[in-house]
Amino acid sequence: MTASRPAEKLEKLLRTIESELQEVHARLWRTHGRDAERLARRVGGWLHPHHAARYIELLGLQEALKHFKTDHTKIMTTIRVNTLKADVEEVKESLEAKNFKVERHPYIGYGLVIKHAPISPGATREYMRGLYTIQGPASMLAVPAMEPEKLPGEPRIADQCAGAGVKTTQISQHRPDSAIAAIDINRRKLRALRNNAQRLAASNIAAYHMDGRQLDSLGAFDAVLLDAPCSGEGLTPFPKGQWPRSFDDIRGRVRLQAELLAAAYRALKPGGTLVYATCSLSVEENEYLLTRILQAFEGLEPQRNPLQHGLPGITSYAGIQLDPRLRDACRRFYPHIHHTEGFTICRLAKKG
Amino acid sequence: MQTRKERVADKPAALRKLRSLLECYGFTRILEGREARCTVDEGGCTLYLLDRQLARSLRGTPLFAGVPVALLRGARLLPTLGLLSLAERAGITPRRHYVVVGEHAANLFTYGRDIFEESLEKTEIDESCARQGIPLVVVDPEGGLLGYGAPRRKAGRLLIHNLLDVGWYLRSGV
Repeated sequence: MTASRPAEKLEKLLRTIESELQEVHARLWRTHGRDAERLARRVGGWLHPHHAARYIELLGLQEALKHFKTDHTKIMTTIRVNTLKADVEEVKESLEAKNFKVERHPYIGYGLVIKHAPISPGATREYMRGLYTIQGPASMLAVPAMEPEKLPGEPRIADQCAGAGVKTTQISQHRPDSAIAAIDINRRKLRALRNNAQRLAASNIAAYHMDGRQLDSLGAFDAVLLDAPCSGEGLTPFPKGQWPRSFDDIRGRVRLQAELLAAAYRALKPGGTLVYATCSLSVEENEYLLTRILQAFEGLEPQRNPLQHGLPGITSYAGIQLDPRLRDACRRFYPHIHHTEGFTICRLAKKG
Repeated sequence: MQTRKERVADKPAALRKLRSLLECYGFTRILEGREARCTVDEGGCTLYLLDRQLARSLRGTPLFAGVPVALLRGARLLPTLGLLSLAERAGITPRRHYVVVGEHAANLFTYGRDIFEESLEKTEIDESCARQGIPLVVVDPEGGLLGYGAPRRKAGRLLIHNLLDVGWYLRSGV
């Protein structure tokens, strides 16, 4: 009886989210439908009017247009220096000697911005030797939001949807004396993770081929990074991110994200840190979902996000009041403002 | 059919071979604070080096843990790029059994090409390592570890045949 309670609680939460989002989306369409259709026509065939309506609500019509008109040439091309093997100046000088034009990342010490590249940054000997890796300018901020270096003892850290392990190896860089569990449901991505761990000499990672929703079967963790599968709306400046997203697409993602968050909560030790990140600026997938999760799991609380850059979290959307503490717990990075891919990074903790 | 348990019996032999390999290059320091584990694969076993704190806290059955450093194939132990990567992390370069190549040859080597004698800036071939079938480490002018080669003679000239190079990370497509 008691064993089924958390599952029932989660199912109830999922039903609430589904019906509430249906109402929200119907309301948004009534309010912004006409403008959304015009905006979608203006931006081009890939933009679904449902997507446009949500961003008109979030940003207003004029700023939404700026957002959707931002293309990949405005986004910084960045690399992350692997401080396990090299220091930032050494890599910078080495690339400059090969006629690269390189600047410091404006938000993070070990990041570099490639202003000019005579060859692809992924084809240099420095890359092959693992002195750096290629990582998006906002993507590399999720791990600093966790502050792995401040976790006590020899922490156990989970990367719940690790993919090819770009952030997993970044955790290793921040905290070489930790034990990291990298989980992914896609075996091919874990092979890429093994290559990345090898190239970057990250020897404190164990990879598990499993569903992230079963994270708690691996025991308790001091910190969890949930870089959740998402709509990818933050990637719309890039051709690969330009595809139509309806209201239904968003609701489907939110369901999976809620299940992953519930698993992360179960797997966290008391006092443990949870960083929830998406390459999406959709409120549904971020502050809205977290508001409902915080209501359902009272043992979870938002924590001040240590990132100094980006915009604060959203606290009201489409007539819904969201958890006001998410203002400080979340940081939002917009392509048209920050010249990064769109990203939302929130920090929570399990009460000690 | 061999089971996982049966193949783990290879481990002591694999570890002995790994130690000789590391001694050959002067890389034994990369074992500090790490454990070696043998994971059964299709061709034999893959040796991983993983940090001790990770080994202590492992739960369940991971697909892999740590960095692959060598493959055991029959009686032969073949070093992988992970071994060189951990050596670079530790800031060590080979003491024996290596060649240093010029800039141009270094680039060609990472495209899978062999190295001709005139491109060798330094050659330190250790006969005892060579007799054990241990490949040479190929080093670039900055001390970067680029891969492994085997010395061959072609028309009376020394040639370093490319066995494995860091360009594999790009060519593997994974």
